[in-house]
Order: sequence, then structure tokens, then C-alpha cells
Amino acid sequence: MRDELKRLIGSAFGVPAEAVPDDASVGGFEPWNSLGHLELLMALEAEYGVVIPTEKMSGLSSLDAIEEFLVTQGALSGA
Amino acid sequence: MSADRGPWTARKSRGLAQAAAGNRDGLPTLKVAVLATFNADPIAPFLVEALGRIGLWCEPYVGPFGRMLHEVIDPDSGLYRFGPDVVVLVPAAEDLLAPLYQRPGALPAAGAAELVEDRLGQVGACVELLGARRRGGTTLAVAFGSARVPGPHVLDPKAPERGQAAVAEFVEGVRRLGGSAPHVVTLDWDRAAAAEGWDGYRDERLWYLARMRLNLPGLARLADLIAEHVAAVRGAARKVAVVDLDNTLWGGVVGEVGLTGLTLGPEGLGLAFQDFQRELLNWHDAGMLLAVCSKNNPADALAALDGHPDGVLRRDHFAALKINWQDKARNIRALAEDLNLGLDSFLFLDDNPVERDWVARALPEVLVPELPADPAERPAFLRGLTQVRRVALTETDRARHRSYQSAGARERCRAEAASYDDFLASLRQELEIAPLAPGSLARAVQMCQRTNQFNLTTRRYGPAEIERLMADPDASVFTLSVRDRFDDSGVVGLAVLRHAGPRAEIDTLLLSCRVLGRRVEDAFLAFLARAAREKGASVLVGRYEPTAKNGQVRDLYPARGFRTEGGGTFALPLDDPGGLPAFPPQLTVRAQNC
Repeated sequence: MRDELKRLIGSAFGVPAEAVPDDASVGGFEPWNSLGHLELLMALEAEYGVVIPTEKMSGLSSLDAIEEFLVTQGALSGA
Repeated sequence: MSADRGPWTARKSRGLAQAAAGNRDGLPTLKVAVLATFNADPIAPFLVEALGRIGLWCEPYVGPFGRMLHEVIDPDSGLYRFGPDVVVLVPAAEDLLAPLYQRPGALPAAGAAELVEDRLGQVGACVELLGARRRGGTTLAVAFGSARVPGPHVLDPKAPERGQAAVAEFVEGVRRLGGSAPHVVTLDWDRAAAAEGWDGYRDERLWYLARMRLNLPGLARLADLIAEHVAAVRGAARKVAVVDLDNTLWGGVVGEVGLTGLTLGPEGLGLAFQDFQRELLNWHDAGMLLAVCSKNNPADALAALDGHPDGVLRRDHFAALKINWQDKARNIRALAEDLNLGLDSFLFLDDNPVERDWVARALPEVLVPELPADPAERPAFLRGLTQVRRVALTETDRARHRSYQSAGARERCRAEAASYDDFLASLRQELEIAPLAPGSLARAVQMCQRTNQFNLTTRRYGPAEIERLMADPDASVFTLSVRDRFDDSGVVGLAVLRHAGPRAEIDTLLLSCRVLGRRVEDAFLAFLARAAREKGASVLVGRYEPTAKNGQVRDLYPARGFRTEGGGTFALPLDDPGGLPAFPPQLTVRAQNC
């Protein structure tokens, strides 16, 4: 599941999945800047059919947080 | 709609991957700058992807948002450092008319009109300045309204408090900019968004968090439209539509049901077939050539074409007819030879997927759209085909069909003439050679982009490059027009001479296929030799750069007395005025300003 997320993040930023570190986060991983963050969230919505409320957006700023959110939404099953 | 191009996520990934890989296929490069009043940064990979689909390598630049005017005015801005070929201006009504959107009730009608006029003045000034600074490189002015009216709580569309009329006037004003100068083209985003649904193209969250007026599907769609307009500006539209007859031009098989049994008329599906024919007639009126390619008994097919009471297209609308039982790919290849056009000018319409597949495989350059199985959907499908779109019609587009029809008459005349020279003389050809006039610039670009066969160096100049050449004191650009007793072909030839002291070089020499074999090329060379000599040259240098298609001109220069210099260059001494190549006696040449 983490690999699937890394693949998606990599494709949103145009880098291979292996280049996405486990602790990737906004500002902590070069292509993941604030605009890139929004684009990534839009890609997550398109991929998983979820809607992310505006106030949640800034909080989903790391791989861990995104994974947890998707699990809560039932879009991903927990590991 | 962009649905057939795949989801935006896939398109973005493709664009990112293409950008990272670099221009490995050596495609022509196009630098595209987008200046928007809102945040349009994420459009970059979509532009790379969309322009890649039309065979161009795009280098994108997205200006800092909200700084459209500054980027255009400041000569040291990122825009000018980037050096764009195409500038896309996206002035969104909601941004430029912000006071109206914030409180329409506070602006009296006159105040709103003044605001609109002022902002249109700004956009117009940007367009003008871009034209002046970039010697006429293409500017796309995007008519960008809004999904919302400023005061939706007032229903009357005329009420000043609703603000609707002012927004409409703004958008209309941007539309009027198109054509205001030769290289200004309007991109009507508002029309596309209204037809396809604004809702799919915006996301309030992205506005509040990132100042984006378009969501990612919206930016992807805008990139499509930019690519479509760029293709049209570059003259890439298809020139010939080859159509099948049975179940394409009419319903039913004429050989089986006879003329009276065909589905074609003012009612029901008959009307769908009539409308299909009407769309093709519109293409014909816009300068496209139509040709028939049908597996049929010629007598049956021609009887229906000539005699069906509800037919819209008649035999005369077609530049060529291939009605036989041969393989369609072979027929289309023969058509290309008859019409002297490259296969990449062709479009093939057939209801039968097997025929389509065969042609698409055998002739990959031919565009083979997947015609909908339901005839009712086909007229709209034709209207949606972007590959036939032109920005506007040139005189040559308008006259093309007439010209090809008289080509038929010319061939008949050729058979009657006792000798080829007599035939040429009987054509009474009149050539006019003149420095490129601004009004012929679009045609000149079109020829640079499209001419494959009689093209010595195949330099694909765009409008900006041609204008630079026109302004360059060390270059001369000439057009050649031909008229004969059958018709006026208009501008059919282009030459660029570069002067460098004693040597003048023919940088570009091309002729439309329509006038080949009529000694027009000899007249053009005779003229160029004299023009070079008048500019002080003692040697005229010609160059041949081979491509897959220009083999026919390989020996053009050596066959006309040029000495082979090696490396594809040929030289002709100009010292002796008596030794200059002669004008062929079978035609009349008028040369201007030389």
C-alpha cells in the first residue's frame, strides 16, 4: 500500500517511486512544494474517488498523514 | 472534449516524462509562454503533452501570475529572457473586473463600462506591445469570462447590478483582438467552457488556496486548445478529405437498393446523411479538396452522385473520383500522385472499420478518424474534428478547388496540344514575382510549412522568422503568383535570397505542386539570378538539402548550368549578363521592384 502511494506521488511529481523517501513531506522532499502539494491532493482525489475538504488539505502534508487519511476514508485498507 | 485524451493525471505524467527525457525525436521546438491573471503554473506539463501530440517539442514558460502587464511592459522580464515563439495571454474577467465582481451594486452602469474599457485597453496594449517587441510572433488572446455573473441575486440580464452585460462586453472585446494585427489570434475559451461545462473546469478550493481559476482538467483542456490553435496557425490543417460513398455519404448500398432506395433526404436519418454532406460542403468552401474512394460499380455510384434529388454534394464538388474495386490504400496513394500532394495532407472517412484499419496501417500519414457507427452522430463528429481547422481563410484556400478543377481541363488541353512547348504556350501563363507583401505573409508561412516536394531546403519558417527576413537588409523574400487562361492560382512560389557580398545564396526556393512541370521554376531562377546581380553579387549559390520527399529537385541546379561545389551547394557565375539563365519564352513574367 505504501508502494502504491509512492508510485502515485512519484507520478504526480515526475520522479520514479523509488525516489520518494518514506519520510517525504511538504518542503522535505524537493518537488513537493506548496503548489505541488495541491496537485498531489487532486491526483489522490482522482485516483481514490475521495473528496478532501479544504481545511484538511494542509494537514495531509506527509506520506504518513495521507496514508492515514485514505485508510479512514476506506479508500485504502490498513496494512 | 478532452475525455478521449485520457485522464488529466495520465496526461500530466506523460508531459513530465517527455520534459524529463528531452527532445529525443528532434521535433521542431516551440517556446510557449503563458501569462495569466491567475495561477496557471501547473499547465506546463499539459502543454508539453498537447504540443507533443501535434509533433512539436514544447518549451513552456508560465509567467508569475497576476503580472501579465508587467511581464509584457518590462523589456527585462522573464518573458523576454525566455524569448517565446507564442505568447498566450489569459486575462480572466473575474480578475481584471474585480471591482465589478466584488460589489456590482456600487458601480453605476457608466462606471462598469469605463472599467471594461480601461481593462480592455490594458489587454490591447499588451497585444500591441508583444507584436512590436517580438516582430509579430504569434499572440493568442484568450477570451476568458467566468462561470458566474457578478450579481446573481438580480435576475434581469440587463440590470447593471447583475453585471452580466459588462462581463460579456469584456469577453467580446478580447474576441475582437483576434486579427487586429497579422499574428494575433483569439482563443475562445469562454465558448468551450460554456459548451463543455464550466463546472468540470474549476474548483473553488484551488481558487482559495492557490489562486487558480482553472482546475487541472481545465488547464489540460486549455493546453489542448492552445495546441489546436498553434497547429492552425502553422498551417497544419488537412487539405484533402477522401470519402467513401455507401453508408458514408448516404445510407444503403447503391448497387443493391438503387438510387431510390438510398437513405438520404430531409427527414430522419436521411437528414443526418444530408448534414454529413453539408459539413463536407463547408470544408470544400473553406478550400479543402474532396475526393471519392468507393468500391462500387462506377455507373451506379455516379448516377447517385449526379442524380439523387436530395444529394448536397455533386460530382463537381470532387477533385477526383476513385470508384473501382481496388484496394483503397492504393487508390489514395494514386490520388496523392494525381493531386501532387503529400499523404500527410489526407483525411479518410469511411464507415467500414476494416477499410479504415487497412488504410491506417498501409498509409500511416493519412488521418483516419474513427467515424461513429451511428450516422446521427457523424455530422457533429465532423464539426468536432480539429485537424481541419484553419484560423481564417486565405485567398489561396478559397481558390484552391477551382484551381484543381481547372487542372483537369488543363490535362485535357495538354493531350490536344501538338507538343509540350505548344501546350505551355497555349496556357498563356502570366507570372508575377514581387517582394513578399504583408498581405501574403500567411500564405508564405503556409507554403513553408506544407511544401514537401518542390522544396530545395525545406526550412519550415514561421511567421516571426519570415518577418525577420523581410526586415533584414541582407535578405530578400519573393513570392511568385501564376495565372493562366484557366484560373488564377494565386501565390504558389516563395524564394529567400541571402546576400553576402559577392555571393548571394538561395536560402529557400519552393513551388506548389500545382504549377510543376510548367517551366515556372526556370522563370523563378532567371529572376533570382538578376535580383542577386542587381544587389552586387557575382555568384549565385543554390543549395539542395535532401529529404524523404524532395528527390525530384535533386538535379534542379546542375541541370540549369550551376557548377557543383560539393556538400549540396551549387554555384552560378553572374559576371556575364549574357550568360544569365533565360526566361522561358512560353510565359510572361512581370517582376516588381527589383
